[in-house]
Formats: sequence, C-alpha cells, structure tokens
Amino acid sequence: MSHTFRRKGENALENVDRKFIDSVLEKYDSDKSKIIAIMQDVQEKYRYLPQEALEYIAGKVGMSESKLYGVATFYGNFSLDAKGKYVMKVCRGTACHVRKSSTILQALYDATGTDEHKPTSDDGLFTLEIVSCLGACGLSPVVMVNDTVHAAMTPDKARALVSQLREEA
Amino acid sequence: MAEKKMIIDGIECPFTNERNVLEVARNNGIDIPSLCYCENLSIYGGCRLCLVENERGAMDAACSMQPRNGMIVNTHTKKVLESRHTTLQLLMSSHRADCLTCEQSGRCKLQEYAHRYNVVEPRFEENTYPKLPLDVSSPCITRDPTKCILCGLCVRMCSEIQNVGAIDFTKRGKRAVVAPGFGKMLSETGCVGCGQCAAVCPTGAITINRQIPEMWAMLNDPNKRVVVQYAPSVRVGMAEEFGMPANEPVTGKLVTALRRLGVDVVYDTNLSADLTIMEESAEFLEKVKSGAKLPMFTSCCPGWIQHVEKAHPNLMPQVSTAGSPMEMLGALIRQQFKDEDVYSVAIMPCTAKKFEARRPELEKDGKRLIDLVLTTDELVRLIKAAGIDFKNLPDSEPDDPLGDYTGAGVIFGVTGGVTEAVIRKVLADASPDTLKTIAECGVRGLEGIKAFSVTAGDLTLKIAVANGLANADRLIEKVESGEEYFDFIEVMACPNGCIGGGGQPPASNARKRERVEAIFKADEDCELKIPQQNPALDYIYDELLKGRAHELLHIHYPLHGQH
Repeated sequence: MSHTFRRKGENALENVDRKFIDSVLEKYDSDKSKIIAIMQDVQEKYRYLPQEALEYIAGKVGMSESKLYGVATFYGNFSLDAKGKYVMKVCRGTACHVRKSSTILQALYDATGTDEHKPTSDDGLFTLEIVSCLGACGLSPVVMVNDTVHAAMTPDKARALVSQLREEA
Repeated sequence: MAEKKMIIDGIECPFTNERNVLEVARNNGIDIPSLCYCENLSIYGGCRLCLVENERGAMDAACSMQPRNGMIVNTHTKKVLESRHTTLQLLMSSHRADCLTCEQSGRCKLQEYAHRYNVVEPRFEENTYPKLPLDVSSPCITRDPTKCILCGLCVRMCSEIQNVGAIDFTKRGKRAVVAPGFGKMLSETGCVGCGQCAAVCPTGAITINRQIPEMWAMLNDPNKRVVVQYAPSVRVGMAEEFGMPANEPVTGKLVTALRRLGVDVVYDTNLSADLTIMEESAEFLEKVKSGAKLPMFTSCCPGWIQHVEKAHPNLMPQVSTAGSPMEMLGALIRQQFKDEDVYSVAIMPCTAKKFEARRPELEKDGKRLIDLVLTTDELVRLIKAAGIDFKNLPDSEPDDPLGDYTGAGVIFGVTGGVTEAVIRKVLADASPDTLKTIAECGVRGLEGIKAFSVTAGDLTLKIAVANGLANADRLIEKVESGEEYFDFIEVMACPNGCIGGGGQPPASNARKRERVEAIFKADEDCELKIPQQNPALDYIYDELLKGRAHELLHIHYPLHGQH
C-alpha cells in the first residue's frame, strides 16, 4: 500500500545527494524488507543517516517515517548524528582494558576536544566511539580509525595519531 | 464435525473459530487480563499479563495461543497469580502514576488490574518512567510518554487500521518510547486527529484534549446565549455510560440533559446532515452532468479531509466542497441569531472535529462558526458533574425553527449512512418498498470496504464506501491504478464510522453493533425519511441563507483549488 504523508519526501533535498539515494533505492528495488541494507549504504557514504535522507526513503519504500526512525534507532550501529571525518573506535573490551585502554580513551578525548557526552569535535574532524571488542585482542590496546586498525596503542601514540590525522585532513 | 471444546479452569469451554485462547475464555465468561491485546488488531504478545498455565505446568500467553480441541489451561494457579503480580509491579515501576488527577482515572486498565490483583505496594523503589515532555501539539489529543507502558496498541491502530503510522516504537531497551520519528511533534506527522489511539490506550499515555472548563464558564455566563448542536452518533454513544442498553437511542433524554445543564438553545445536527445531502448530491449530479473527474469523495469527516490533504493532495479537488453537518449548522446558527452574543457548541463523537472547528475556513462574516467542540465523552462527564440522573430523565424535543430532521440525517452516524442518504435523495421516493431496496443494495454493514451499483432513472452509479483510513487507501490504490472505477466514494476515518469515533466512550465490537442497531432504530422512529421532506428547508434556504447558500454551506480548503 502506498504510504502517507508525502510532503517531506517530495521536497528538494538540501543536504543529501538525491541521485545517490535514488541509486541505492534502485539497487534494492525500493523494497522495504531491504531497508537495513539501504540504510547501511546511505550511512557508508555520509557516515551517519541524515534525517532528510530517511524521510525521503520512507516515502519511496512505503514505510512511515516513525517506523523507519524506529529501525534506525534500534540498532546501535546506525547513527542519526553527523560524524566527524575520522571515526575513532576505542576498544574497551577485556583484553584492551587490562592493557590500560582507559588512558588511551582519555588521551584521545583530550587531544580532540571531545568527551563522553560530546563525541564529535567542534571542527567536525573526529568522532570518538567506545566499542566492546574489535576482535583484535592480540594487538591490544586497539583503536580503529575508519577502516584502519592501530595496534598496541599508548597515550603518546594516540596523541601523535590525532596530530597526524589533523595534518592530513 | 463434533463441537470443539477446551477446558479452562476446569470448565468445559466450547469454541469455533476464535483466534486465541484469550477470546475463548472471554466468550465463556472468564476474563483473563491483558493490556496489549485488541480484537481488531494484530497480536503482539508483549504485556505478558495474559499468561496461563497448562496441565504440564508450562506458561504461555493466552493471546498468542491457538485453541485446540481438548486443550487444558488454568488462569489463576499460584504460578499464574505470582507472574501477574510481578508483571504488574514491573509495569508500575516505569509508569508515572498520578491516578487522582489522571485523565484516564477510572478507565485505566493498569489501575483496574492493580486493584483487581491486589498490587498494594510498589516493589521497586525507584520509578524509571521516561522523563519526557508532553506532546500538546495536536488540537485533538495529548501524548504523555511518562504513562506509556509500551503495549503498542496505538502503534498498531495507527498503522494497521489507519495506515497513518504517525507513531511507532523508537529507541530501545529502557530508552524505548512510542513516538513520532525524529523527535517530531504529532502535528508534524501524518496524524489526522482521529483519536483512535486514545480509544485503545489502556493508560493515560494518549488522551483526548478535554475542554470541559470552557463549557462550564460559558454555561455560567449570564450574558452568553449558549447554543448547542449534537451529532447523530452522540445519541447512541452515551446510554451505556449511564447503565442503559446501547441499542436504544437516547435523543430525548440528551436534549433534556442539555437544557438542565443550562444550555439556552438545542439543535440536532441531523438537520444539517439533511442539508449536507441536499448540497452534496446537487454537487455530485452537477459533476456527473458536466463530466468532471470522478469519483467524488464525501467531505463530512474531518479526519478523512486531513488524510487527503496530507497523503493524497492530488485527490483534494475531487472531494466535495459541501461543508460538514457541523459546519453547516454552525453557519445557520450565526444567521439565525445574527448579532446576538451566541456561544456555538458542537457535541461530536469525534476528536478531529476539534481541529476542523479551528480551521480558518470555518469563519464566515468575521465570526467563528463553532466556538467549542466537546466529545460525547466530555458531555457524559458534564452530565455526571451536574449530578443529573440521566437514566430517569423525561424526553424533550430540540428547539424550533431548526429542530426538524429526517431519518436520512440520523444514519450519517454509521459507515454507509451518508451514501444511503444520498441515494434516498437521488431516488426521491420515500415509499417503504424503495427504502427497503436501498437498505438492501449493499450500502449497509460494517465491512471495511463495500462496493455496489445503484440505478436511478437512466443513470447507473458505481459506489464504494470505506471506513478506516487503511481501507480508504486500499480503495484509492485500486482507483488510481485503474483496476476499479467508481462514481462516488464515501470515507469515514474511524472504524465503523462515527459511532466508533475517537470521541465516543471506547467500545467493544459487540457494543458498536448495538450502537448501529440504535442508529437504525432512530431512523425508523423518524416519520420523514428523505432529506428533501425536511420541513425546515424552505425556511433555511429562503429566510436564513437568502441566496448565500453556496457561500455559507461550502468550504473550500486550499487544496480544493480554484472553484
């Protein structure tokens, strides 16, 4: 059944690339049973799920906005907040914990100007996330930046990493 | 096939096609508690209150258990009672219980069960209800997440029956909350204000916006002339609240009660329902003649109008511009009393009417047509607050000169009623044979979608009637895809039409069927059956409207487009 409340979905999209969203929808036949895959593809590009994109997708796949929002907020891996260019996943699993990952987390908070309640830095470069295990316990303590794993971290190495990334940006 | 039976609490319980053990038990006089189950919605099995124990000591939810021949379950074993007790304590530990002042007090199922199952003290010290603000953005309903127990009835109602999906489960774990997406307010969603969510909410998490103090203030103001109209369904929605059978209309008592409350003038919205038919059928025949795009959709239901505006804006030009009966009587009242200080009140079975009455289009000659909309439920509270013994009231009649009405107006209250009234008008024959033919043409019945043809002279009309917005959407999909063609489509947003409106005291399906009986009984009680027989029409068109009929009786909403 075609769904409701088309007002938002039909509007021009300001901050997201409509062509890109359309291509994702086409890839999955705008099938609402593939909504998770659709959202994963969108998140891969934007590193989060822009509200506009979700509203547009809701109209196209025939789901209510509230239902889609419900799915997006159910899974911890989806984010509705914009993330920094570098998403730093600090492992706080058991192996990393016993090798003092808490000091690394604190060093990264200090170096990037973020904290527990404000995970993204003001310059939009860094987002800090805490994860429970990256499955690389042999390399602990571990920090993963986007798709790169940084092994055997120390607070000094963490600070150096931030400076280096800042220069590259 | 032999009769199927199961044993509940040692009692032999015959069953046929009940969808679950819970229904079997209830049909056999055993009330198993449940908070998340509704006969008209899908089964969720989330509240765990309807757990029963089988003969092997295993427990399962009766709402999710299919009855089998020979099945044995018990509903109040030690294990079941303990489980129920704990479940209620857990629910209470995340529910803000301000029972004395809660809108839902006395009707709250959590309160009822806490009392029934003797949960006399909270087990968990700290109450963890979500500290979230009220959503008061809708003129019709208020959402209070601090009282939500996550039963999901509103979510299913809004998506399964109404296909609106304004709210859903969002977030997860202890942060889970039923809400619109993206932190929006209800007014920013597809919500049409039908109030069906409030009708199924077991607690006070979604309630109707009540405006009883405003009404008292006007009733007690000696300078105000309070003029009240009451809709067709109101007379069949109140009786049960006063311990009377629901299958009898209580029109006469209703009028007496309004006068005793201090209302100065009482009119019956049935009168303007007749008028709506006059205007709407003229508009329809004009459209047929001129070859305008069909189907024409009815316009009396404000929930439906909002749904078209929000979900099918392209169809709005096909919606009749005839005002709703409430609007039309509002316009007549203003003409009747001209410069007098009149406070115009409408008693409606409907929460969406509160929105309709505030729309800018419902202002004519610089005056609001309706000052206040009260629901049937609010009227019941007013009458109780005034200490009126409703059951033993004598009957009385609405006032002249706008007190006349025909049976065609009465039947507006049930799905198909508007259409039946239109057919009566078009066939223009009040003989019992014709009326019987019309009643049996397929227009009556509580099915979600009805489709049939009617022949009037050399014209054969294809007609469809839908109740519940999901049914309307299904119908529209068929029309837009070209799979089906109709000349005329009636839509009522609420299941079964206005008798099941969000402003009526909540009712089971059985109770709603009794209300339908009462509506047709009220129709039978009317001597006049077809709208054009209404003796007040001449006075209305010649004396009150004086050539301004279209201007005052039609409402052009923005999406109707240029007339």
